[in-house]
Amino acid sequence: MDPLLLLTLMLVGILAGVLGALFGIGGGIILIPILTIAYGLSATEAAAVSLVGIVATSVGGTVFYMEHKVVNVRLGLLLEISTVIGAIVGAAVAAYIQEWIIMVIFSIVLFASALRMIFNKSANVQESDSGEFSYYDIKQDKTIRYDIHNSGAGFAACSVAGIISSLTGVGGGVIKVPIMNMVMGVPIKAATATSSYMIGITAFSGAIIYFINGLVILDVAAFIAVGTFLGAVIGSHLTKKIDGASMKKYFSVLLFAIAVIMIIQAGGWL
Amino acid sequence: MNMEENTAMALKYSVMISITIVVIGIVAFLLNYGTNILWVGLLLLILSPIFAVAVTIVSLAIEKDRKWVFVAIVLICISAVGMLVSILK
Repeated sequence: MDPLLLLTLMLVGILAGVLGALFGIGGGIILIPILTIAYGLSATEAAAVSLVGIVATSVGGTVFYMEHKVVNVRLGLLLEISTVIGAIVGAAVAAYIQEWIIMVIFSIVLFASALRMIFNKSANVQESDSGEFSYYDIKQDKTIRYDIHNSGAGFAACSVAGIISSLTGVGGGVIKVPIMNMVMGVPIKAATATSSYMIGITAFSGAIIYFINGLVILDVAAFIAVGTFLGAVIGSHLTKKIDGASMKKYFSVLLFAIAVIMIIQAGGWL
Repeated sequence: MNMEENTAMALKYSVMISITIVVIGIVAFLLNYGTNILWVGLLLLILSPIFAVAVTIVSLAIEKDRKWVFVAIVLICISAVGMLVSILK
């Protein structure tokens, strides 16, 4: 690939990395269509490169979040188990399910989640003075304490998220953040940071298989990795300037956008 | 240092090293020296999340937090099963 074209890939990576780290999503939904449509990569090549970019996004953002103790590592480990189990089940049943039906249902779920995040304020109030978990919010200049509720429901919901991820190819972050926030009562910033940590572990499993099999285009992946890493560093630092309420609004807009993209993909227009 | 601090440090250094090697690899690639350095840098980058989990397990074991050591080991095993399923497909 032409070196100048590779440099533009870095810019694409920066965009995906900023959004990925800011909202705890992988960024595959941004990277894969761009890599296939604008750069002519095959679906497999785009998926392989995208997974490397997702790892870079995850680690780039998680370093900042962990240093500021925003990531709930134990919660991340627990939910990652159910997500991976769901992903395995999804891979096993994929041959028996029409992908477009899942994408339409998933889009409706995303629309509903976005509306609930915007309008149902009570579902988002989880902070408590005696909470078991805490993180320091730089924007608010105070320690936010919270408890985790409905662990069983959250665990089960993450399995469903894993199944959907496996069937649709959309990373789990876009599902796991609303689950952690609305079902389990985790503040949005802790939810996005924990999701950011989790998606790196999820992406590792896929990326290493593609890599060992020689399916990763090294030069393309390198430029994407550096771009997404830089973007993730920028995105994670942006959280210092955004309060939780605004972040929820922005995340809702992102959910709407992803739902629309998925409807377009389900209809075969993308 | 506690588990969170150890994990953060492991992730920080593994990412710094791998991204530095990838950048050196990009320069080498642009100067027509091949993609060997890129391969090493990207491999280290891909391995960094699981390296962080390994450090988490060791830190939890040092803290004698057996319940969460078990949870983390289960995660590694389930991930291995997931990878095996992907390979066999």
